[in-house]
Amino acid sequence: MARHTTAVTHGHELQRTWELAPRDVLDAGLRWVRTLGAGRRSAALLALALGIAGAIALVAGPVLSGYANRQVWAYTAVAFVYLMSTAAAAPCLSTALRVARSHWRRPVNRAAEVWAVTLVVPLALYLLLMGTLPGTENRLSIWFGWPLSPWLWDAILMATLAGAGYFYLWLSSLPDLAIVRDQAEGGRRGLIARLAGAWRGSHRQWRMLEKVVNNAGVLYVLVYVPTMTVLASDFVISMIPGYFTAVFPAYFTISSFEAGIALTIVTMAVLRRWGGQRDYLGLEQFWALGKMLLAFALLWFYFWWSEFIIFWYGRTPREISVLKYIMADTYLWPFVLAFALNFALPLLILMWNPIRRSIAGPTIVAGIVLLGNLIDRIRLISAGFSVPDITQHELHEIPAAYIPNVLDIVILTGAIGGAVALVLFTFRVLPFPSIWEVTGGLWLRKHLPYKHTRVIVVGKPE
Amino acid sequence: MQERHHLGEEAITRELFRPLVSTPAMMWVGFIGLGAVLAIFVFAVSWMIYWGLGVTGLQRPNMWGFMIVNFVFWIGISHAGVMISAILRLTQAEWRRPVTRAAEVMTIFSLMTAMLHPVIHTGRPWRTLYWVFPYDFWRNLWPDIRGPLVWDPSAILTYLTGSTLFLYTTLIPDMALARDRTTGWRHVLYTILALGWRGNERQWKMQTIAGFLLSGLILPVFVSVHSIVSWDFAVSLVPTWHATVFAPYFVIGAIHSGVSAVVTLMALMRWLFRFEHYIRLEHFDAIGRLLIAVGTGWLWFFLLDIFFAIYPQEARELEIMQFRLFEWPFNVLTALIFIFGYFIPVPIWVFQRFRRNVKIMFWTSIAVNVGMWAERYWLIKPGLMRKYEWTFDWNWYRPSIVEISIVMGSFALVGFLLLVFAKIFPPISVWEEKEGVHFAQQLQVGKRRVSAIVREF
Amino acid sequence: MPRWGMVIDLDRCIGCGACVVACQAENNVPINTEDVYHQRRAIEWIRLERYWEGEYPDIKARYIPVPCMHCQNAPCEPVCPVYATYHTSEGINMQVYNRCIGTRYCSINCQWHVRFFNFWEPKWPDSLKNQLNPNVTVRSRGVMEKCTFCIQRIVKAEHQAKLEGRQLRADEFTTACAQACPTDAIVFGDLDNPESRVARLVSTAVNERGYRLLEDLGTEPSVYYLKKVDLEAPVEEHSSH
Repeated sequence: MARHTTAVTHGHELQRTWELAPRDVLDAGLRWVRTLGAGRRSAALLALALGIAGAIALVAGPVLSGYANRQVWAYTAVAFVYLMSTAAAAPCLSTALRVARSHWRRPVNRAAEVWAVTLVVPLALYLLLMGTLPGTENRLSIWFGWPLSPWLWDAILMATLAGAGYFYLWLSSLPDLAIVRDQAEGGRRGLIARLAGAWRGSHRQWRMLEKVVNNAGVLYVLVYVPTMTVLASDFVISMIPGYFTAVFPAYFTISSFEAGIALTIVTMAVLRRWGGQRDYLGLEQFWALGKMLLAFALLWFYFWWSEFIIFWYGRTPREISVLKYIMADTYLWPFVLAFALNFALPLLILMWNPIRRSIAGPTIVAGIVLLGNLIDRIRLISAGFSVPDITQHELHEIPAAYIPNVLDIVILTGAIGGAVALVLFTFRVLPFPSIWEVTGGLWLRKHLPYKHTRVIVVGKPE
Repeated sequence: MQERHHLGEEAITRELFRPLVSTPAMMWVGFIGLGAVLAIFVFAVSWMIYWGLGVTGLQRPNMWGFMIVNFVFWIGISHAGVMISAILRLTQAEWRRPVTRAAEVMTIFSLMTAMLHPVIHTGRPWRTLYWVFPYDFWRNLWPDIRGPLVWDPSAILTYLTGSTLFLYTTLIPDMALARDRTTGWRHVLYTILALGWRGNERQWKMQTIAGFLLSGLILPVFVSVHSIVSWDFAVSLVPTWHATVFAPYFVIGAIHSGVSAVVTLMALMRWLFRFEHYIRLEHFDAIGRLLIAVGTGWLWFFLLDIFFAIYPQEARELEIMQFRLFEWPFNVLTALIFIFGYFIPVPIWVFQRFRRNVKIMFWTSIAVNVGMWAERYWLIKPGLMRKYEWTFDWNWYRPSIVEISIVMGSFALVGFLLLVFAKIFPPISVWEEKEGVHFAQQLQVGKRRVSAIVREF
Repeated sequence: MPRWGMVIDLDRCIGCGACVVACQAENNVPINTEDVYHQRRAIEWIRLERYWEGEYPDIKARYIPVPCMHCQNAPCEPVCPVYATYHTSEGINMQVYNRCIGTRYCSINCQWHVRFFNFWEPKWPDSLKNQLNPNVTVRSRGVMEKCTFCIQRIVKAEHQAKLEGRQLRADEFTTACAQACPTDAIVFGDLDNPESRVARLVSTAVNERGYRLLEDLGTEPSVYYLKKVDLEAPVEEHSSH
């Protein structure tokens, strides 16, 4: 692998990716599949162990404290919502980049889409949580008395989302799976061959794929947004009496997109550092995603503020008690941390272009955002699961904060560990970089001399 | 697919400057027709200022009416300019080039028109100007900065200043071009406006940096303007107004109507000035795709607003929701908003065939703005007509002929100003168009030649 | 510092409208002609609202006089861009006519509909011009106006007390509406003076059958209502409006 991955021109960096031959990309992808080493395996096993510990805690916790107590389930819900906000949001990013036809997106897409493989974890967690969700008859909910609400309808949405996610991941990796099928050896062939199906790379198949892959992504986003809207309502809004807010679902979704971008950046950094992807995941990608992360950090503030200003200005007792509960009194510190980690720090760090145009800068901020999102979700879900009587229309007295115990932490790390383990195991099957996408990009991008400099020329076939 | 015609620089200059020197017959029709409506507008405003707001249809619960609705509408339209120019400039969307100028000008004129509404809508407009403009700091009588009506002019005036600067920055190279090719009063005007532009490298560099900086700086203002306009309503306790979602909802609605208005303008410019070589079908295609995303986002917020207005199950809110969803005339308005604002245009835009049809794009963009005007009315009025449980104070609002004239006239005003602008300044940015020609490349991919674009970074 | 407030006993109210007329005379409120009523632009600082209770044939007309509530946390105040509406230290929600530019936002954000806009130039017939109260400004077209708790009477009484070098006595004076009320349904006074009638009512009758309009908005209105005692009605849980 060449040490000099970039050529500098016109004050900007021209990434080596685009000077490679298709053969190099193919080799890199195959090398990834063939030579994933012991490091990945031990990491995966560690994550799996965490996941199993979490699963045990998930059973043990309710047995120790009783199933009926909704508070016991708070951290299961946190784990569920956190995975929905991070892992499930990442494929939306790749869809957005595909639809916007960003030319630098090609190596990024798979790093984002691969997280769709974890959708089974939140789905399982939801099925567990279903029993703890109170029915909607004597309380406010957006279901307005639909039968079997919210249980069945949320489950349908979650299942659809998981289906759409797996479908999207499968479609976008189909040509690469076929390559691996044709080139790999050993025991994995059977599984991969089955996944790759009848892909032969005919003209018709390619045309089909190019049409469908974007639409599959759009479908995923179109399911994701309503799912998050409904989850925001069922897990937070309707659990806090008097929390009458229409912007919260949007806040919930937008902050999830922020976390999804952050997760993608962290994944990219890991792949770059330990996955030998230096040629593909370079400054261009980190810079662009850093800008997006900054934009979404600002949006985090905007959506939070839109809600806050209305409550604060409205001053009705109902609004004041909600503000006290989730921001000012009970969950003051989680809120301050969420504010700092989701908005203030990312803004203060990423507002400097030299930091945005680096590998470390966006990566560190992405880590901060992932932590901030976790704290934010802990704040909201703990608040939602700690109100004893949710049939009232107003918080008459403000409940105490819920402090997690060891089991809660184990459940949370377990769910995250399980998701990470799934991704690490998927790495064995999916080539990085995405061979078909990057080679496709090579055709459509040239670095050409122009006057005294060199410029990027991007083909627009459509 | 790009169907770019290969035009020389001279040809581009000549064609784009054509509206300045020749006046198509339709333009005269426009001047006279819009001028006539404008005269009615001026008369209506003077009449209202002379006699007082008694000549409007406003009364006790309905203290705000058509003029405020129209104000929100025009603020919405004004969001097109920055959306097209600043955001697309920062994201280097190539298809922005022929529409930036028109969009920016529309921003400025619609902002000015919008600003007019709250001023003439106050009880004592002369006092409003007196308090707001040369502000009387001397007596230590400060405006109440807690009031949304103070945030509002601050945001709008900042936006107006910013977008005027932005427009002017992008206008300077064209002014120099015009200066070198004109005589008489035009020469004098363009000489002043060109600020001694010689087109050397340093000047270009500074112009580019200024353009990018202004694009970046104006974005937060852009978001804040319509958010603050929404807070004019949302911070009050009126049921269905007091909704947290208003700020993002108004902003996305503004982009929806503003970008649609840009489509309208593109089609009109293409027909009026015969700019087929510049405003090409691919541009309609691209803006149509943008509109699908924007429209769908708007629909999401629209539904959030409706759902979470019903969600609290509070009698006051339900009363208004019931009224605005099921009772005449708001039931028709609801249907109109859904159908015109989303269910007619968006499914049409999904098909590339239709996105590349100028007539269809023109009429769908008109439909969106009909829907969006109705949406503003639907958002603002029912809450006032059925405010709280004081059934004895519930009342209908019927706009008077004066208010209707003002609303009609505001459209004429913007249209007239746009036409005047097109007579004095080139309606398509000449230098951006030429830059676009330089950026256009061809790539050989296998057997095909693919059109390609030079990226700055 | 006094804190002015009012108690209106709906059990005593007979709906005669004397308070409305007295207020009209005291405060130079423009004459509401028939046209103005039909336009729904009548200005009545205190107005008498009639509403129906029950279902036909078991239906009853009810009256409720509605002056400005003088909320302690008034929603109309922060929305005024020019500080034309503000809170006095004596708890009165005050309107400065000279500063008012007529945005009418205060009226939008007043849920009790007690802020009135001068849509037309106010006019009086010549015969009534000499009747105008010299202590009260005549408002011009384009400004908001509203109940002031007869601020001119308050100022006069406070001034008198100061001249005589004493504290203001309880119930030394009252507002025009309270003065005119034939059944003594309206009681005005200092809520902080335990000897005043209004304070005594607040500590006694208000606990039994008192409520404030739209109390749930948390704006702390200074006007209390005492519920109608309906001997025929079945005992029911009282609601706040």
